[in-house]
Amino acid sequence: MSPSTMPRVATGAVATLAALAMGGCGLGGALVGVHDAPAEHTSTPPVGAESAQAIASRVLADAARARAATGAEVKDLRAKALTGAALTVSTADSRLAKAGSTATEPVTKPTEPKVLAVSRGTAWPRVMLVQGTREDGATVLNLLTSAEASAPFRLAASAPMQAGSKVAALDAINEGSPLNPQGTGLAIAPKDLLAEYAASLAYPTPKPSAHINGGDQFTHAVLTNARTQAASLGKLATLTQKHTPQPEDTVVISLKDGGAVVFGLIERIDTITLKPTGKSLTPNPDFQKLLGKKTLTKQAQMRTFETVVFTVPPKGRANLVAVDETLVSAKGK
Amino acid sequence: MSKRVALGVLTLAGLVLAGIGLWFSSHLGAAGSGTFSAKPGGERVVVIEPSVLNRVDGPVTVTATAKNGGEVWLGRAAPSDAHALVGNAGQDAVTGVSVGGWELTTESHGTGTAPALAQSDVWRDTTQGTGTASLTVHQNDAPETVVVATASGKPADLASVDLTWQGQAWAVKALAVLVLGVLLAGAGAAGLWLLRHRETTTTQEARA
Repeated sequence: MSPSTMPRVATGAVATLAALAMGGCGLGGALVGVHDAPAEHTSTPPVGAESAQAIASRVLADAARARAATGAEVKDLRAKALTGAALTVSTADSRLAKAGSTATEPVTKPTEPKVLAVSRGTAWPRVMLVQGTREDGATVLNLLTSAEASAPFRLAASAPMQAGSKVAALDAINEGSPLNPQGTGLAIAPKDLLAEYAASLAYPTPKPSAHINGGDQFTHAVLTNARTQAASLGKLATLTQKHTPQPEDTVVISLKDGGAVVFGLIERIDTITLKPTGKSLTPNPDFQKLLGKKTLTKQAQMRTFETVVFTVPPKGRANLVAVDETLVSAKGK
Repeated sequence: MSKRVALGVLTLAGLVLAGIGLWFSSHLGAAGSGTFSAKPGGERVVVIEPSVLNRVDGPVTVTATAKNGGEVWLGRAAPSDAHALVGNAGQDAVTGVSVGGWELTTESHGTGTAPALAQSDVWRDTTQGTGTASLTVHQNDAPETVVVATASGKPADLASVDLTWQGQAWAVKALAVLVLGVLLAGAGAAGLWLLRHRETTTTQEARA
């Protein structure tokens, strides 16, 4: 480099440095690999597959512990593990147990739960659909919910699957399954589905359902039991059964094919009213234990919660795939 | 005169670059490890934002040290989840870094207490310890927020919170800046010497 070219090189270098300086931090940042933080994805599931599995195992283990517990810690254990219908049902179950019910309470094995779906998106409430196995071998569908950031997932509903029923494919856990509370695109809206099913169980005047496949074991059993019980009462008393959906407990999880799994809660009120010709009646053993009476002279009323799980296609009829019922309270005079 | 000024500026710029390169090299070391610190105290939970954690592609390690061997808990979550959980609790939000002092820049806001943090299911990863605990944020799930407190949600009595980035390329770049600065300063100084030499020779020839 000759002395005559040196100043030109120097001028160019200074200009380059000045340009770099004027480029500011952005260029400097780029040179060392600094970039803006990426935007948050809002259409992914809130937890990954591994976390979902760990949460499901924890919740079902806690739920099993809460259901099996006795003594002072029961209330805290239930509040920690259960919510919604599951909490109500479990509390009712424990009252029956305290009263000496002969019914054996199904306890879901806390091991080997299988997460079927996690709700998509960052909004609350968040839900998980988890398959479990009862000690008697029955497959159970569990609904886990988290109402807000500070509320961990808890068991909100649980029902054993009907024999021969199945749930169509759900979206992969890492993609998440959209919630569809209004039932957009389904053959029947969840609210109407539950109302229609409730009407189809009514006694003495059930209304056939137009959007639900009939012939499932539970529906048949409820209607048959009502008829049998009414017949046994004969001319002494009348029986009515009214089913009322509890819409606040409805959760709708989309299936991959555009359909949905619908969890719902239905309250059943059985009312037995003695006719003038009847002097007294003897209710079933659970009722007697809840009420502390062996005979009734005017009226008996039993409140039962029915947890129902339907699959609803985009077109066609819905199917009842899982159901559970628990006597919650009773009163009589 | 303008040539002399240009060469002077080149020399000065070279010296500045060399100084910067030397300064970064001494802090980053051969491994290219840079640590920024804050001393938040124990009155608020610490919330480290994506604007700090997710600005480079490499992992960043958050290390929290409690005073007197106290309890410290760290959780990593999606930013919206962490904010929904911490809510308006009193917090020191770590929003940036100051390279000059190798410090984390913080903004204090909010009042009240956070809920029981460890009980929530929003966390992708948590860790806790007595005295110190650390958690590494890989960039696979970016953006993310890290909360430093105690498991119950009470603020941890912190001596320091350190964020460490590891970047081998940074060490190489710092060294390159040092070398470039030395070369530019050398070239500028040489140019100045040659210019002065030529002017001296021209003056002597004119006198002769």
